[in-house]
Amino acid sequence: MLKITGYSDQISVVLGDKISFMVNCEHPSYEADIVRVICGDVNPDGPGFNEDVIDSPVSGTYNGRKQEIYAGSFAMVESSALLENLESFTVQVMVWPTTPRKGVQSLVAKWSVPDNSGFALEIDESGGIAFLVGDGKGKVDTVSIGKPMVEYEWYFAAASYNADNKEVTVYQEPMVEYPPIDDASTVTKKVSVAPAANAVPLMMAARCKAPKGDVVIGDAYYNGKLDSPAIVEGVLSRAEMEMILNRKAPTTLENRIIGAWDFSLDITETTITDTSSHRLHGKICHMPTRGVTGYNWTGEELRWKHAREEYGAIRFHEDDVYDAGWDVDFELTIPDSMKSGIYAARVTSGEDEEYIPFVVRPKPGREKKVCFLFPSASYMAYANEHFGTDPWPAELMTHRAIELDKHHVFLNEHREYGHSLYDRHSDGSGIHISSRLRPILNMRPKVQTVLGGEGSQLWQFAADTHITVWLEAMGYDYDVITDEDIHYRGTDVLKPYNVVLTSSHNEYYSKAMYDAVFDYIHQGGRLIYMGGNGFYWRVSYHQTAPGVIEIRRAEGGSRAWAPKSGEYYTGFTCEYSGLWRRQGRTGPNVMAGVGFSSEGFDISSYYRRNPDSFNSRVAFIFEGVGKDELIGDFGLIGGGAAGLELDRVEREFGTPPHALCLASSENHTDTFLVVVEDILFNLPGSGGQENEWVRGDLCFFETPNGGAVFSASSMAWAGSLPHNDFQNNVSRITKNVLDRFVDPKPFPIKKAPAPPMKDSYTWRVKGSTPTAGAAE
Amino acid sequence: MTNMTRHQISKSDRKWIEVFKKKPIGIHPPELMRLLNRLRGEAIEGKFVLVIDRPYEEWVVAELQGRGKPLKYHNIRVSSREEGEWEIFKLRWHRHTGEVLE
Ligand SMILES: [Fe+2]
Repeated sequence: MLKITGYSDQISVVLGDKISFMVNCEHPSYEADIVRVICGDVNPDGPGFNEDVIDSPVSGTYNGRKQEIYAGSFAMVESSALLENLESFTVQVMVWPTTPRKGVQSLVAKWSVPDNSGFALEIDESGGIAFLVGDGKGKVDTVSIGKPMVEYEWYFAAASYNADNKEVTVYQEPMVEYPPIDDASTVTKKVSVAPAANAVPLMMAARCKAPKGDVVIGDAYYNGKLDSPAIVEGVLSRAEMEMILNRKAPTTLENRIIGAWDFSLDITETTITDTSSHRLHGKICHMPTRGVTGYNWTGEELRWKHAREEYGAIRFHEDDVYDAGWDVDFELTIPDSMKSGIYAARVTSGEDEEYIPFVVRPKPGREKKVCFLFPSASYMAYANEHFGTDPWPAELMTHRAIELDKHHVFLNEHREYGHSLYDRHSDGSGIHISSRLRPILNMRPKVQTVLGGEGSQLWQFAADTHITVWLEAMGYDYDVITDEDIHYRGTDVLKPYNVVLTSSHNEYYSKAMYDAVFDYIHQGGRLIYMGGNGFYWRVSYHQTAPGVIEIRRAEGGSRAWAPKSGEYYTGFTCEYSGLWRRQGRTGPNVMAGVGFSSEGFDISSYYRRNPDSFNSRVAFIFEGVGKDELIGDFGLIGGGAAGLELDRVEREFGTPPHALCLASSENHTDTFLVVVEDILFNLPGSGGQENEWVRGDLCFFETPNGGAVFSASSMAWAGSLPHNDFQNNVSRITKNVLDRFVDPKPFPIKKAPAPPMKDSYTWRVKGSTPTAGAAE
Repeated sequence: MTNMTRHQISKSDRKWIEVFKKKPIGIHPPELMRLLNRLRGEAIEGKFVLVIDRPYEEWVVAELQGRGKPLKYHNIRVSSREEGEWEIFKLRWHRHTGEVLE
């Protein structure tokens, strides 16, 4: 098991910035250094692991200490005199439980776990609603409905406490009646103790165990939605409760409201708003999901902005995690001597080690000509994936035995480290939100991953170092900038570069990121798309909380889960999430000339040149490459340059009409299947041995103002670069393109009538390989 | 989760054992794919996996026990992926047919 884990507060820093590192280390001490990461592949068949230790003040020995993550989302309202001096009162909330039988789950509670004081409206062991009172001196009394609720159904839950006679009434009412299901009841009982006042926060979806910084460590985390919680002075009748719920209380009743929280008022924020005159506002912790359908959602509106009042729910999970909140162990102020690049804090103790990567971007004005775009959003999407250990058919995707690396074994048992956007919460729902303010144990050099293909078996971060090691070996000077830089600062960050190279898998793009790259290549920039399945999903960054993205895998696409109806728009920004391809004149084909076609994770294949590759416009690309030469029939990722995830040209999806389809891959295994978004009806013959759509296409086209795009269209392309000491045709083609793209000389444009559409969107089993665009 | 496919393993599948042993990863004929879909599509509880012990050098065969549950390690160490595939194939063949392969 891993004994050292860590993370940093930032992913991208520039000269003079201070970056903080947080470390959990079970050893009494550890050594730390800053290293520049050049090659993260330790495969003996590869170019060799390569890092530069940087002379920095970080180097030294530090005391190890254990730091824990307290996962589980909740909402909290600071304690106040009003909440501490309740006499008779009523507490109510709409509840949509997903795991009612998992054990005690707190719904609305002013409950202090250490001394059992206060009150709690909760789900108890029976799976039904219960109300708990504690005097803080050891006496606790419960009134329980004792009937389990049905998962994924809305219930009205409430409890009133009469301070005069200590009578408690608890309500559990389903919104939908299933005749034989016994799940509705009202129970009235006298309790033996009064709820004692305490100073802990009022909490929703958890109860308070201990304060920690400006949040708390919780207990009894709840899985499911809550909507419209309220606390009202006095013992309310059921009719009065309904008026409170509907926010239509007469003044006499309204004046008795202590707090009534309307979660729909600040969906994009981390706050919750009390609509009562007391303004007992609160906040959410560990990023529960907002912008989700409420108990009163009608289905008439699908975008929460258009029917905010029907989106008053928050969805909580016991395994949500946003900010691990660890204490800082060491810091680094970026010195002038650290050139732009990929770096990491290297933490070692005996045999154990941990790398905490970050990027140093160039100081404005000092940019080089070549830029590597570090795909931090896509790394966050895959952060701490559980492909190999969670219940889904990973081995049918890979058709290889699942190989677990150390971090997989650790993450399987340490769910508090959170999940990736591919995983599911403990209640089975898809993960919508991913943060980098926690150790991301697969965003590391050396780590192997289930999907990485035969060979080095790398994915993302470590695989992308095949690009950086190649740049170094070829002698290119390059800068590194991250997705967050282009998200927050737009196209101006890219503008200084003659050419931008993507990573092997730049799949997740925010609107700002998409626009930045798109505008760059239309204002004269040149893009080398080094990967596969890029520019695919639309994600949102939170507008105030740093380092966290959200996705709703709306409508279609190759996806690990599907969101619920009415939940296709992100809570962070109310953007329609899902495939870029569905969003008007956008998508991978528009950006890069190619879009996701197929995937497989066993072995990779090669490309064969198409007639387009002999077009004089692209003569520079194939200099030194033979007419019949197979391209990339070698490599560290699956043994070929075309593998893992592939893209193809398709005019119908936006490939520019003048794009050239230079070469296409072939002979993939039958684990490579046509992507679901291209399938209207299922048909036989959708595997790599038979289907024409199962392929990657090398693609080139010119963009306005002297720009151009070259696309490799395969995640495995980069893994072929180091082959034969970097002397091979994949390396050659990439170098030919890069050298020409660095050269500011515009590409010659000869105006000609639009060519007729060559390719058509029809199912092809065998037959001719389609090509896009014009010949000479 | 139960098995992903309903292909029932029978005597006629025996002819694929040697084919698989020679090439456990790569292009396979459809009939062998069907057999492997059955074996590789096993439920997560009890699913055989390889745990990397020394990267690119040594692996240990283990069984998943379910989401969040510790692995159950077998006393089988292999020094190549191909060897690992074969060890797992043998375990699965035995589980499905009762027959021990050498
Ligand atoms: Fe992906």
